[in-house]
Amino acid sequence: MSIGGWINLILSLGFVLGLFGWCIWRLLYARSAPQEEHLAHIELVHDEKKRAKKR
Amino acid sequence: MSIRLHEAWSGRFGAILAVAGSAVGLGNFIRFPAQAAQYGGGGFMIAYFISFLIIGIPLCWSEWTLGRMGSRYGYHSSAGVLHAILRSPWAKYVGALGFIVVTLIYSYYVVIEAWCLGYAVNAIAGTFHTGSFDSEAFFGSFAGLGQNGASVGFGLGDIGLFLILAFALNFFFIYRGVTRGIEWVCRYALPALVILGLIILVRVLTLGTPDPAKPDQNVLNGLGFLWNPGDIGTDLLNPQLWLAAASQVFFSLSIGMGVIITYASYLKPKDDVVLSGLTAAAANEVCEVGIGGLMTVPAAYVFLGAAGVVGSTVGMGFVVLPQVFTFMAGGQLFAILYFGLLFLAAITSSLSMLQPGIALLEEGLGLRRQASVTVLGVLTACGAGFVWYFSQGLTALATIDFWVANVLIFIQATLIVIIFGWVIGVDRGLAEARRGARMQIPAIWGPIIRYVCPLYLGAIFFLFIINKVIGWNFQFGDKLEIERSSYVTNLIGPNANPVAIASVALILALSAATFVIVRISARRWDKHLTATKP
Repeated sequence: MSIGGWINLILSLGFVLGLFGWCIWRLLYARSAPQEEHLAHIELVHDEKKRAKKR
Repeated sequence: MSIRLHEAWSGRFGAILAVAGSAVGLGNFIRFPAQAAQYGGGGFMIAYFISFLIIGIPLCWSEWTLGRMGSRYGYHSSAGVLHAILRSPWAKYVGALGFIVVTLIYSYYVVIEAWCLGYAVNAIAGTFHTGSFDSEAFFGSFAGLGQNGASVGFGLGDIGLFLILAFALNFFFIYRGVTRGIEWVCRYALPALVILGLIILVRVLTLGTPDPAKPDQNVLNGLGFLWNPGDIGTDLLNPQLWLAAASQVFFSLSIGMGVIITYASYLKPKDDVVLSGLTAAAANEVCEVGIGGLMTVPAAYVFLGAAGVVGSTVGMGFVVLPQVFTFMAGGQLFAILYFGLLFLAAITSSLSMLQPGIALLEEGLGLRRQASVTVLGVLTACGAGFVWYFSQGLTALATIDFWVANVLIFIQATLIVIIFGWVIGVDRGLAEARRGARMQIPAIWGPIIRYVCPLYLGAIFFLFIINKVIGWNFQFGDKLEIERSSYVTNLIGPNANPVAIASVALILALSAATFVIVRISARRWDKHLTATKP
């Protein structure tokens, strides 16, 4: 196998294993992101824009 | 009138295991290595990972989010989910594709699943290790390639018994429901197939140079055959490579089928979809790149050389590898493990193809579990029986696979991403995805879902049609050739094949029946939606 082949193999394998490992780590140790207030804010901004358009 | 079925995954890992089980299938261990080797490892892997990031991840998140949105209204079928969310007359027909695609794919996938089971049993019986074993002749006889009806038999060298067994197992588990059926199978089958894959992988990577007379046929050269980059610049200019890489991502992640929408609809309203979707996709990639990509091609290369590796996906799995196991020390054991692995991978995927149908029949027509399982059983038995009987040259299987698993899936996936990015709106869609999310969706995925993904899908589909249907070879000048694909010439013209025409008629008949079912179901859903609020 050529050096390019090794690089290709290591990068591909590293990417999928790294991604999977990171996902499992997040699943086991991360808490839910508290974003609902933030979402409500986004929706209100949209509502404001719609109202402004109607006016 | 009750539409809510009160089924749900047992915990946060239940949905991940089920979706990963659906995604990890025969494509991971046979199709991926065959495609990567055919198109030259380096360029293919670049196109593959770009497709994974641009199509795979956005579609996963879109389908997971749409499914969980549907659960708020108590719907689990794609048609019901889209009808409830969008309240547009056309939405239910887009969702109907989710039933048509998986039901038709199941009708031939269960036949391939039966091949895997049959090969595992034949490996146990020592069929591959008899002196006169010819893998090509065995597969031809087993699958009935010679003439229609040739595979209708119930001996060890016939498919019949194994097809009935695979069919019965699928319907037994689907009857048990989401938690006690699908989740239970995936909880044991997925770790088991990973362990089997790792055992075989260790064996393959320690094969060394089995024949000292052929020193070039060693494991490192086998890995190089798959992973050596070749001329990346030229490879990446080949549209067929992009087509192959994008298609592989599609088949592999089970996206564009409606399965994920149905599975995610059994989540609770505040369950995470972002990290769960990414984890299921990543688990699939580990099996595909980490196990499938290291196992199949090197094993074939060290015993048969480069010439032995070239061939179709089916040929690789059911002709080349049985031959490889006859040469390998301990080959009988590894053949049992390999085809056992393929069977486990296949059953977790085939189960996922039945649940959308069960969901539609239950919530659309108000059938109970027993009735819905019976109706779907009869329907899929007709389809599988058709593919089983019309086995000559695998024409029925290949025709349904082409028009459904290639064309219809692309159409459905494009519609899903347009619905998520444009009809619902990417801001609202991503805001919905973030509810209960255990990770942030990077901002870059907003424009990717809205603009890049539909354009990329559209471009790939356009290339697919001009290459596979119209027959242009993507060359210009003297090299330009237009040769109609056999999928077209089998349907139109002097060489039309009656089995191919009947296969397309089957697709059209099921599509028409599904649209009628969905139309009837919508009346029931409208009453339910006006009577209840999420």
